[in-house]
Amino acid sequence: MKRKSVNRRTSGQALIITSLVIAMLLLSTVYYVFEIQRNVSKSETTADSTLKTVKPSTVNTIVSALANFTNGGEREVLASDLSRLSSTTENHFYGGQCHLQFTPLNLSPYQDGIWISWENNGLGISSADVNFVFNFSGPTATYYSEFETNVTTMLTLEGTYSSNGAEKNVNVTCTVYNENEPALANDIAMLYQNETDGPWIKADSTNSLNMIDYGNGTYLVSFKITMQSFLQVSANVHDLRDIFVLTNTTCIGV
Amino acid sequence: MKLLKDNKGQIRIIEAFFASILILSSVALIPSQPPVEKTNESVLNFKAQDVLATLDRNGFLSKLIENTSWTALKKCVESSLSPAIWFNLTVFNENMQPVNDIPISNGSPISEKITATEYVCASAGTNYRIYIIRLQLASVT
Repeated sequence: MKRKSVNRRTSGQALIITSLVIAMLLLSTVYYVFEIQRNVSKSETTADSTLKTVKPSTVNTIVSALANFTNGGEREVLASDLSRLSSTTENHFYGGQCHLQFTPLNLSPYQDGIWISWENNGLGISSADVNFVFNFSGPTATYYSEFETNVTTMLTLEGTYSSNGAEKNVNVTCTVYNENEPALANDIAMLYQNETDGPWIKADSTNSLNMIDYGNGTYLVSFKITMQSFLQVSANVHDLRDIFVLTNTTCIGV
Repeated sequence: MKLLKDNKGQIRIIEAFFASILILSSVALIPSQPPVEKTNESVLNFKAQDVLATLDRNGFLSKLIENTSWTALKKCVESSLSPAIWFNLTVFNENMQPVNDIPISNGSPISEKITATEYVCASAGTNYRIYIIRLQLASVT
């Protein structure tokens, strides 16, 4: 009778131990998932911080090369400057070994990473585009990142003129953009041509040249000239980054 | 009849299951040790990188260097850091020759544990230059 009672008391022990093991398994799985998520977010923070230190230099290098090229420099300056940046970054990078590879975009209309479109349609574009691959290997993190850097200065131009006897009042609206956002210009030179294939003449104070800066990348330039029936104007602009862009347009009589 | 016999230990099992969950979840609440890599040194290094990367937006940092505006550079770094952090900044050219002719610092180090970070700064001007900026930081803790 006594033996039977002992057996009865121990009858659920195996099941209790099993349930304990299952509970432990469940909790350890939850803890493992939590730890993995924490490591991923920590690694992403490190990657963001590291990329944050590399990206400004890549942008500045492309701006410098584009400014150089649009002001009469060589196209090869972009690859040359990027090579210098890549080797300096690799030699002086904090916290591990890094490798910065670059590929200037060679997809039409870009050639060797640069696209210049200074046309007669009232739209001027000076642009550079480079793809980067950044590899980092440190004591606590290793990662790989690809990013694209595009630097574009765009200019739009619209012109009208009204007659006042032999004299014409010309109004030209220029808008400057950096990376598709309105941007300020450093200087704007306005030229006009009052006969087909004739010489370009710079508008100045003798033409009562006046410029209104709206402060949002839009400039209204007005001047007076004596002309026949044809008038083409050209805006030559340097933005605040010293990137040059120009475009021409035919003025419409109003 | 057989079913009733099989159900005998179920409440005990459920009770044990909840008890074990309670015990193990209390273990999970014990604060874990801080990660080894999150030391004061790495915090200062990240801070230094952050300050320099922020100043480098739109080529501002390289403009200060090219204009030799060392006082302005000192003020910029000073305002980006806590007053409890000591800093010393040195600008080098690509050949690792110092460029700044006056010290860019906020006094004497307040701790023996000084961390140094190097940052590559490219100029955005038509005359392309690369500078290596060494920012040394130390904090009381």
